[in-house]
Amino acid sequence: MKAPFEPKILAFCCNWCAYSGADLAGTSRLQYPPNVKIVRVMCSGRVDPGHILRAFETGVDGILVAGCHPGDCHYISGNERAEERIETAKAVAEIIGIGEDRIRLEWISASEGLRFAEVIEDFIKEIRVKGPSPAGGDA
Amino acid sequence: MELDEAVRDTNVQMCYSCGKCTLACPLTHDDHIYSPRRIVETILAHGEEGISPAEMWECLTCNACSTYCPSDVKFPAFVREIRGELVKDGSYGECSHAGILHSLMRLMAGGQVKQKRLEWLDDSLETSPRSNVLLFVGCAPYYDAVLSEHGSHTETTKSAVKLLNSIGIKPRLLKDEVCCGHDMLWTGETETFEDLERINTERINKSKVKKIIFTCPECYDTFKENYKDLREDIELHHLAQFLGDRIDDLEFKENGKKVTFQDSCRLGRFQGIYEPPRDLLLAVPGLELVEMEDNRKKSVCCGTSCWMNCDQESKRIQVERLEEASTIADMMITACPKCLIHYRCAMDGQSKLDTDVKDLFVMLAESLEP
Ligand code: SF4
Ligand code: SF4
Ligand code: SF4
Repeated sequence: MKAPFEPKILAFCCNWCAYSGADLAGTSRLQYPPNVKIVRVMCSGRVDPGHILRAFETGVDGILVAGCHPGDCHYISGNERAEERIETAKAVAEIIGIGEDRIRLEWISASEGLRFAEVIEDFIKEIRVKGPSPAGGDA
Repeated sequence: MELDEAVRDTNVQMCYSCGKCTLACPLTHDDHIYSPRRIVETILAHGEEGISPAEMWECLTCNACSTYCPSDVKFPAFVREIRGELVKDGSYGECSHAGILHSLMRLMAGGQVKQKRLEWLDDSLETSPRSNVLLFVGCAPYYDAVLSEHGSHTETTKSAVKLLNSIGIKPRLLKDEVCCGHDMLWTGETETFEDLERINTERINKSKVKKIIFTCPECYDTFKENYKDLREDIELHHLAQFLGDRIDDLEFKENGKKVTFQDSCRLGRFQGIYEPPRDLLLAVPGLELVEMEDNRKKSVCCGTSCWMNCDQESKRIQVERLEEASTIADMMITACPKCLIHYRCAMDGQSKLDTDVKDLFVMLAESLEP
């Protein structure tokens, strides 16, 4: 029998807000599904659409990019850059047939451990409904 | 490594060290020497040990060297062969744009994705799913998304349809076309290239297509030189050459611009198509065509190839070329999407460059009589 589909999620979290938020979720012993692998980046603006497509190429089903809330970016406007870059990544994902809704951008502050857990849970739920990424791969 | 074979196939052993290649190479100038002569000599003397991967990735594969080689050494083809071996050993060049274009090519080669690559089509453009003339779109829809700051690239494809319509042709477009594989072939990802080749060949062979028209010189060159199993009765044309043969059927309105033409390496030195784009420009009444000093087979590369190793040498080549163009013309015209993108990129932040870079087909479509 085929094993039920378990989405593979990759989350790029900025060092200053989202990653600390994820850390807080951990230290507060909040539960969230184990389907997510976190990559810590210094700023959400560092995540290039190329990194996102490369992740899909290797078999990821959904990608979350999480940074500081608008106005709170440690590097002042890195998260604005992230917004532009995610837009590009989404446009590309649409044309290649992966679908833009497999990419999500969220703002999560260092104190929002609960929100981090909720965002992850919600995203996994959504990707579970969508099924495996058409890009294949075996990450 | 199959070094002996690569040396034999590309005539490398025939080198007699004249150095003409190094003189022709755009990467060589006052404070930077890139020497295909030395590279060839070192490899002949030391075999595999003589290969420097960094040098193998730096070459632009622009074919300027081979054009002047009296001994018919095919240096770019040699570089391509060696890159194939380097990739097997895990060495790779530096990808521009975080490798997004390479990822897209591999995803298309997987053959599973259902692309939405024809969203740019609009009602003013006439196409026909039953036509036996196929317009190969290439990667323009992806360039629009990834490189939007350097203009619209489906504008070229739209213009191509418009120009074909104006001579009574409603081309067919394939919604499941994949990348031609040029960049995968030239970056040594041979297996990915073969997957792309197979997918396109199967989809085209089973259609009733008799002619394929390309706007991109790289797609044209790749289909012509590297696709082995395409149905034999299919004719391949670059649009410049195709329209060049039908020049009397095209009617253009007055355009008083002064332009210069940038020959791309695949269209020019690889395929020898130099005059058709110029004939087309001269068919536009009032348009003045002036030549840069290095034109036709002496043309200078756009500075980077296959979306890799874009560096300060690339920028130097681009800026020098644009400076020359801007001193003689209002606009540089090219018939290659990559030349267009890389030159436009170099123009960013260079306010002293008082010129514009435009695609040949966009320029021609704008000049059509309504
Ligand atoms: S192909 Fe172009 S860049 Fe490469 S060695 Fe020859 S002239 Fe130089
Ligand atoms: S031009 Fe040809 S023969 Fe002369 S050094 Fe270069 S590769 Fe050798
Ligand atoms: S020149 Fe071309 S490869 Fe280099 S950064 Fe600009 S668009 Fe990218």
